[in-house]
Amino acid sequence: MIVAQRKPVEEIKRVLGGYEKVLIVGCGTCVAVCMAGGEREVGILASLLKMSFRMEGKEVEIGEATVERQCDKEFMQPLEEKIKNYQAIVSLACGVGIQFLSELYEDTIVLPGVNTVFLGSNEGEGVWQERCRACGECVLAETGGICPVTICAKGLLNGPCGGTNEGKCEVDKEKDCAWTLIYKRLEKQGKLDHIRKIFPPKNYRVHTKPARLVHELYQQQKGET
Amino acid sequence: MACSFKEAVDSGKFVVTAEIGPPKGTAIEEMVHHIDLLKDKVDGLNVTDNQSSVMRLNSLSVCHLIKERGGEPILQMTCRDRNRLALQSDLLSANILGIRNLLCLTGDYITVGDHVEAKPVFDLDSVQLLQAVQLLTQGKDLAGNELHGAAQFYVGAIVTPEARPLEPQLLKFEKKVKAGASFFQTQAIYDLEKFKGFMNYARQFKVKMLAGIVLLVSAGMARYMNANVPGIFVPENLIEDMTSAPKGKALTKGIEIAGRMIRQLKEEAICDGVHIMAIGKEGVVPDILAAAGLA
Amino acid sequence: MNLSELLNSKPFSITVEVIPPKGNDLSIFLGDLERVKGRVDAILVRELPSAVMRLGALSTGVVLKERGFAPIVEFTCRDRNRLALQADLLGASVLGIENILVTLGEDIKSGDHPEARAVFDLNDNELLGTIEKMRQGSDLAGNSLQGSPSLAAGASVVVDEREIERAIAEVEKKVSLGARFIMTSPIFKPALLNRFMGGVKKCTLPILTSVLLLKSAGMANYLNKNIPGISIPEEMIKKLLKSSDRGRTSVELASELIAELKELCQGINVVPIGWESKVPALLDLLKM
Repeated sequence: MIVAQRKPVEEIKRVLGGYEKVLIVGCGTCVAVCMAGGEREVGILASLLKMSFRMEGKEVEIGEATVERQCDKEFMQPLEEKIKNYQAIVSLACGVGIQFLSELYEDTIVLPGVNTVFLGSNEGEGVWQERCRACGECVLAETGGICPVTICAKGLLNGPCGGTNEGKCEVDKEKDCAWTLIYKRLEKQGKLDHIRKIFPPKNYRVHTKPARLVHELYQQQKGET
Repeated sequence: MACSFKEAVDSGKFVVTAEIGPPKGTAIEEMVHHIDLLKDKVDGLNVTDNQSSVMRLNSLSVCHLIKERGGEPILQMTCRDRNRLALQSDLLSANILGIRNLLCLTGDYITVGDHVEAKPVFDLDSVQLLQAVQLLTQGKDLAGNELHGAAQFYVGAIVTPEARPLEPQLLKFEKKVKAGASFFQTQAIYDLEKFKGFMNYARQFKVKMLAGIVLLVSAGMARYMNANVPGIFVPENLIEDMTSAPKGKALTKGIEIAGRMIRQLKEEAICDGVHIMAIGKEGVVPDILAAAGLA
Repeated sequence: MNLSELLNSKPFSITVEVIPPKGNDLSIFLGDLERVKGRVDAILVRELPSAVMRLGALSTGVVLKERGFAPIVEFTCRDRNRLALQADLLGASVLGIENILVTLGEDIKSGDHPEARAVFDLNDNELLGTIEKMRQGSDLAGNSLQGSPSLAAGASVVVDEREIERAIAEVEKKVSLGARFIMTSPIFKPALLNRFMGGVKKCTLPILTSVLLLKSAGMANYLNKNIPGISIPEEMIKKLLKSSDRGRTSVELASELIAELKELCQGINVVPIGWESKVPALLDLLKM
């Protein structure tokens, strides 16, 4: 899932300066799981902002809404009428949702309420861990399901480097050395041969920005062969 | 130099290499003094590449200076700061300037250095860089394009004989051999029995091994390395020796220890040579060689 | 030889741009250059133009210097981070290379290693600023240097007739960052250079105008269509089309253009792109 972190309230307040009718829109998928932008967080932010503006003697109307996914037109439809009543939206969705919302409602100011930080897993009880860099060239079949691109600080494909120590990374002693982890897992599985071969240099062309993917079945339909 | 580094290694003699650390600027007088001091006493002189991610005068220009002064440079090249275009281009550059000896390394991470906001490149790792070197010597580049003229190199890499855990390090060592490394300079060793064990394993590969010798200048330095440098373990007895040295004589003790280790490595033919690292104390390398009976 | 001092010291200078070989065979490269030795003021050595892997510009510059030429070495921002860029700048200075041309660098995609990782840790303005900082005795992170490099950095500016104000603003920006000379993109119209020079004369920076040797009408049309800032007049393209000896026509066209351009700026940078062997004929026509 996409992991995000809510921006400090002060920063959100600053970019809202001057607006009198603001709608906070949450998303029920990734950001809800990582407790940054789900329905509950929308409520919390709304309260914080109301209180803060009141203390400054400002009258700001703050509305709340949450949709299941902000990256899909289908789920955004119900918002259309509501949005017309507001000058600005603070979206608590990830960067994808914020941009998507902006594009759909160009006449309304859409502002980010979170910083999108990484693709990761829910490790349980308020802990999320980066797992994937969306590099487009997945080597997990050969590294025992452990990603060297994400977990190795240097992103080495033929590791470890000389800085590894007792299974920890040169860069941060709290962090595990990806290649020690990979070695141990493959040793357990009897598959060390996978990493005895030399991995070729990474293809950085796979992702020219921004990337676009059209399913082959739809290519002709979209005229994008 | 009477002969090239490769010739020295191939002759079967016990080879000695030392290290030159470039200055952080253009003031090269002291460095040139060290080059002149050491060039005829060792078989090769490594020049570090922004070591510890601290920005310094580049290795290529210092290697060129060493060559001009009649020494045998070994160009260290890390993967941290240049992409595959710049790395291969620099290899061709080294070649055109007559620099033949290379040491390919991954490179320390950016954050240990003095430009913490720099972008870490690592477009290639040390194994892929070794492969690129092989390709250039065959007249091709990494993308398969033909070159006008093949390059000539004698290329090495590094290995940490006491890495913990050791197995992943050895797996990587084997990949470096496969990728074309002809010689290795090891991380600093202090326990010769353990090193003999490593050599029993390493000897099956037809590569030349130079044991890394880091000059101890104080007990504090030994303890610091034990705590902070992966794969370096200075045994207690040596730390004791350094501690109990008379005031002002710690360096002398360090030279004696280094000399003794080198002498033993040579007399017992444990490996093919040594790589002496005396950062900041290049001037005493001749004393280490004398203590080793190699002067 | 400090290029900006040289450019300021005489009414007109001429440089030739060269591209190092893709390998280590310098024979043809040096052969062509020997025939212009003493007739040009400096040689601009390009660094991996179009992102094609080649022999490095710095080492090529060193070889040229050893043979009595005055090199200007290009530094792009595409392939090295700030550690390597600064280290190489120190190296250039130590090896006696004084003149640097700072450019951004073309896209990786245009080259022969399209899978390589583009670096762009610094952009060209940041690199210019870095050189100035190093000249003053510290590196980009503010650490003191043991010995400052003596370098004269220049910058390149695209002079597009549709956006001339922007080009003028670019020059002002480069000056503020410490640039000591400017090299323009190829210009084919004296009137355009005149307008541009009018806008930048307050900057008192020597300007070198690039002049391309056009190989064919096809090449000219391609450049007009695809390269920003290039505007080759129809008359030139027609002459090439009608010519029975394109090499000779190309040299004649360049010499006629240079005769007009040289009155307007401090120097010309000849860009032969593969026709280095024709540069002596050009110099003959210019009586240089």
